[in-house]
Amino acid sequence: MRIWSLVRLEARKIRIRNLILLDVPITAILLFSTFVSIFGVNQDHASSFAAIFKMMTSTVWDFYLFYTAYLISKIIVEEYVNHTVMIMFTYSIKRTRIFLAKILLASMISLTCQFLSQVICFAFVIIADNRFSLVNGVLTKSACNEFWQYVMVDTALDFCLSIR
Amino acid sequence: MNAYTYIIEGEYISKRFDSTIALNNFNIHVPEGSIYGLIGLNGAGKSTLMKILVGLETMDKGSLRIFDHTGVTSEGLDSTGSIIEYPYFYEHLTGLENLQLHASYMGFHDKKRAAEVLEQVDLTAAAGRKVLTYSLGMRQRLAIARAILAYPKLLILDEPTNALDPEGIKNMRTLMKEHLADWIGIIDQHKMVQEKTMVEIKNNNRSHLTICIDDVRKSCIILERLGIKDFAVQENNRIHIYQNTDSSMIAKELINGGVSLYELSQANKTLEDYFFAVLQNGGQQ
Repeated sequence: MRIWSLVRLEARKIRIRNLILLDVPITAILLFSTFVSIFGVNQDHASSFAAIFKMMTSTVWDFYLFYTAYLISKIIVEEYVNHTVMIMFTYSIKRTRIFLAKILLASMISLTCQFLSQVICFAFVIIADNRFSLVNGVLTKSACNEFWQYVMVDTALDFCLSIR
Repeated sequence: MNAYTYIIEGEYISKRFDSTIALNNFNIHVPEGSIYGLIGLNGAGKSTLMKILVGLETMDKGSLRIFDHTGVTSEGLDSTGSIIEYPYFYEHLTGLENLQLHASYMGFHDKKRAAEVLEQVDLTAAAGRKVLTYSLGMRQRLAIARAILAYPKLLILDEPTNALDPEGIKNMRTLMKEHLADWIGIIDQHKMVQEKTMVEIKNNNRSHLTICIDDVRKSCIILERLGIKDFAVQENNRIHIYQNTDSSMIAKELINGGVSLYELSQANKTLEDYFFAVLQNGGQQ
């Protein structure tokens, strides 16, 4: 069986909608945290965008570490707790492929949700600054590039940690 | 037993869990097309053997051939249905979804089959309900449905009536009534002590009337005169009469014939009686 078919089967077993919906309150908390951090960062920097993005991406990453751990417990640990893993092991599918499919699913959900949260927080900072001029200095291209670099690094780190 | 083609052939299988011996030089031969019942006391190693057969445990020593392949292979697992221990399911999925998921993992794509097996185990009405609302009896029936879903060539059922209430046991027996074992394997002390056909066991374990008399020769003549031919002379002046006859009539004829009758008793032996007799005799019966 192809690995993507296994991932799809894994997705059928969990309540994927609920897991993705969990991203909504997480993003709301992150927006609030970003909003609060703007005032703190403004006090220390003449031009705050780069520092805000750095703090924001780190906070998002921290939150999604816990989220990934929760996903892994739902997708992998619960199979052991409920003993359904015994059924899985009676199939003619290699155990490594079964676990690879589970990890891929957890990573895909976590990475997608993390990326969305990062983009929403980024958009929030831009829109909030446009309307209320909250951030010191102006948004530069280098600050934007820095943000995308942080997002890529965080996403890659998250993927590596979930595989580990 | 060599005249048979075996679907499972295990020789000198051994398995330990730390210092606990689960199987010790265990031999098993399951003929193709047979229904093989494995009997043993708790902790004899039945479940461990079944787990080895479906790849949930590995054996430490010995050889195993299933479907003419060495060891547990993916081809073998594709053709095997099983219930091992408690019937576990994805609780938040419905009975039908659990079966469909199982079919997908087995690479079995007959969409009508799930509904068919649910009907066979009388769960059609509950097919759309989440498994967490099922009673234990319903779970056990759903487990059977899952086991037979992909038309397995080998069906392994580990205590399918385990933990069921009396009604559940009754329902399970009704479900299985057409599938009584024709081979029996008896496990004792982590070893296979006997493998026999049910026909052999029934012949060795027939219900009979036991008479204890003073004159065996005269008694045999009287029995033959009564048209009784299926009897066997035992030790200590005893005769086992296997033929279904009226015991009072036999007693009357023996006494009228001048034979002193000391004992007359009917022995109706069950498979359980046979099992305990085998264990007491160290595997011989």
